[in-house]
Amino acid sequence: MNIWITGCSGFVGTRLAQHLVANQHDVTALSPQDCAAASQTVTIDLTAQDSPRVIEKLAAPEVVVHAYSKESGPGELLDFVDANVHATSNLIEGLTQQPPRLIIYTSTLSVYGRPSVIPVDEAGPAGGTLPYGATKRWAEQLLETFQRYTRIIVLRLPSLYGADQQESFVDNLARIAQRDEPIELLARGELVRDALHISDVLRAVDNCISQPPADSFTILNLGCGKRTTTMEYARALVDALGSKSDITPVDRLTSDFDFYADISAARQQIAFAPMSLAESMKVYADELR
Amino acid sequence: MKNILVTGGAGFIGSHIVDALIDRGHRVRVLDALVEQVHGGAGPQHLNPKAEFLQGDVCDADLVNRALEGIEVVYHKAAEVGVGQSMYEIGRYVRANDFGTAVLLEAIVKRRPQIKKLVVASSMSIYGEGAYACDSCGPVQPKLRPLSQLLDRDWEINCPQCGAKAKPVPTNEDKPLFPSSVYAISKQDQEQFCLVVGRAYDIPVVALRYFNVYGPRQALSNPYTGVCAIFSGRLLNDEAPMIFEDGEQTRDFVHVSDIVQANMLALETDKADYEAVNIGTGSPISVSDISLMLAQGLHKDIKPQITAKYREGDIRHCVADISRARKLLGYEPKVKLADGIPELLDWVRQQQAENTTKATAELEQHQLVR
Repeated sequence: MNIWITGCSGFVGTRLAQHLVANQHDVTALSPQDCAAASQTVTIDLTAQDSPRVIEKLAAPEVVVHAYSKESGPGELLDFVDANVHATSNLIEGLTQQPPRLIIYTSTLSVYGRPSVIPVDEAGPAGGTLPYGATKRWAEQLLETFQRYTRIIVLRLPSLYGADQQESFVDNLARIAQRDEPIELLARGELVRDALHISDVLRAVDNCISQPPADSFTILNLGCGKRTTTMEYARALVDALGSKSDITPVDRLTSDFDFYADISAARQQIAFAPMSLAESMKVYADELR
Repeated sequence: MKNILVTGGAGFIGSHIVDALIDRGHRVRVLDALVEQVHGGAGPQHLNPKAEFLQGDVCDADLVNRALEGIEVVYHKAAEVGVGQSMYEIGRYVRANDFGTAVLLEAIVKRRPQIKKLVVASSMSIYGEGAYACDSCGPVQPKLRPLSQLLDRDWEINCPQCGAKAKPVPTNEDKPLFPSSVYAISKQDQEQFCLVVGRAYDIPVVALRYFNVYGPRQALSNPYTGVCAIFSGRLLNDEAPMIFEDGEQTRDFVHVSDIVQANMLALETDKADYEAVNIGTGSPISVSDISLMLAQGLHKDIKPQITAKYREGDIRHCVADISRARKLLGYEPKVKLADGIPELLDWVRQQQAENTTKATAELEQHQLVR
């Protein structure tokens, strides 16, 4: 199958390209830099004003996985708007004349901001806090207007971990655990977090491609599907790595808040079935080795 | 006397605001790109000669930074405007409205505490459908009508809970936002950007959600906006106004001088700081009736052509609840439609109107009219 991936230089995009190429798909990266994981790269800056015209001239893909994003964290407001909103608008404008049969957008659970109840489902108020969650939500809304042309699936992703990922809290724990250093968990290790190994997301994308939901526009939460504390993540990780790290809950507060997503819609509509925490950490530990 | 920047200050609404500010003794600088679709390639025809003029794009960070020099108050009115066109010139709308606003806000934040107030133009389009009430279920907030209903030419809104017909009621600012076009999404983004950044940095922001604005200086040469301008343009060319659906859809038409009134009040009081406020009249009128009023005013015996087609993303009814504007701003709409339409038509008679068939043909080409 002819598949385009945007954001191929990022963690999710790279892993997706590797995975889809390994599954015999013809993967074209739409990227400013060459993407070694893809079958080929079309050099394009999606934030550039002429990018829709460049896209119009390309042979139409069957599926587009839109993973281009400025990730959560510090940054200028403009960078978030440019990468998350402007790039999305240019992509869909370029695809108007030759829409693919499916667009999968990797969004984020951050669109919910700090929800008043957990687990939060897809009907929960979205908008998030500026700039990351809000700009990802705006990109979702732009894609929703494109449903007249094609089917859109928005996957709202939790924190992701995996080898080569730098930023997530599980990866940070892993770096400490690999050095057998003590792990301190704020808020007594009782904070509820939602995280997945990247391979769960890759399987979800496979399912979206092979058996997409019937609706023209679908938003699906992905996540571990159960209330899981940072202490539980840390213990499972230390066990999987065979680390000698001591885990110490400390009383210091954190600005993070309890969060996990209701994934029943994804279970039902794309047969999403995340690995158990122990399985997930074993896969991750094997990767790290 | 304040030093005030008005982005989009050469446009329809912006230029009226500039005049009012200068009348009140303020020193005004205008930043406007003079977009050809609006200004027809001509110079700034409505620009007050007492205003300082900078021509350029609000996405140009260096220019925006220069435009803010010495400025205390910013009216952000620059935007690409046009629901239908935004659905195929997507990048252009997002660039101008989202990216342009982000450029402006970053420049404002870097200059704080120099900027004492930001007034941003928002739009009723961000609501999607207006508010409704169902006899059985009470207040309801329906989303856009499903395609199957529109294909059946069943135009009125069904209650999302019981399926019975729901009645339109005034829409207040707490109604959930369901923007249904790229333009509407970009206006929602502009508003949220300004309010959130304003709160974060203690820069008072007022977002004014304009309903259907009409009045002199409305760009008849732009075939993509403003139903009054579009209908007037067709009538001047002895063509029947083309009305989608059955013509009984209602809107809230507010005269540009009342929009100016709200903008002046937003500067004078701090009660509306960090708030979004509807600016309309609170009185609904059907699109058919507007067409007939315009034809009558122009002495044209031309009835509207009811197409029974629908336009992608169009809503059925939306009229403003202006209680918040009354309470926070002391706003009271002054111009009744019966008085405002003749004034609009005086303006219209002086204009060369573009034929709007091109705009409709473009919508049809993109399958946005069916």
